[in-house]
Amino acid sequence: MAKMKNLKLRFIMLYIFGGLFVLGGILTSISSSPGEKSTYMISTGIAIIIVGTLALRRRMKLPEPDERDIKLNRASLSYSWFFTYLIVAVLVLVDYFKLIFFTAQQVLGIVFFSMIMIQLISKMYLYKKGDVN
Amino acid sequence: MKTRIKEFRAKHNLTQEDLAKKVGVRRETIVFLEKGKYNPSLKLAHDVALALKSTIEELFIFD
Repeated sequence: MAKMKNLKLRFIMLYIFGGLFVLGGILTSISSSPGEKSTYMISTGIAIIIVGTLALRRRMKLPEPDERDIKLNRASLSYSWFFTYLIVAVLVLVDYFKLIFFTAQQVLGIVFFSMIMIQLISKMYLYKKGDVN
Repeated sequence: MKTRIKEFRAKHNLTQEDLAKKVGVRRETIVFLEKGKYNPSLKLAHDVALALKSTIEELFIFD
C-alpha cells in the first residue's frame, strides 16, 4: 500500500517535471521565434515523461524493496558520491598541471556519466555479493 | 557468521518463499541469510527467529 502511494506520488512529480519542460518549450516558442531552445525543451519534457513512465511501470511489477535492498541502494549511492569525488579531484589535478584541457561542459558530462555508472556498477556488485560488509 | 535457518526452515516445512513472506522480505534476502552472507538487522533476526519458533542465539552463530 505504501509502495503504491509512493509510486503514485512519483508519477505525479514526473508529470509535473516533464510537463514544465514541455510548457517552458511552448512558451519559449510563442514568446520568441521557434528555434533550437524550444525544441530541446519540448523533446526533453516528452523524453522525461516517456522514460519515467516506463521505469515506474516496471517498478510497479517488482516486489516491494526490503531492508537489504534499502541498505544496498544506500551503500551504492555512497560509493557513487565517493568515487565521483575522487574523479573530480583527479580532474582538478589534471587541470592544475595542464595535462589535458577540459571545457566545463565536458567536466559536467564526465561527472554526470560517472555518477550514474558507478552507482549502477556498485549496485550490481553489492547485489551479487549479498551485503555491504 | 553461520546460520541454522535452513535446518529450522526444513523442520517447519517452510520454503524460502514462505519464510520470506512471513517476515516481509524478498526471497533473495533469505538466500543470503542462509548462506551467512548477509548481516540482518535486529528486527529481521527477531522476526526470523519468531517465524521459526526459535531464538536469535540458536539461529545465528558468530565465529
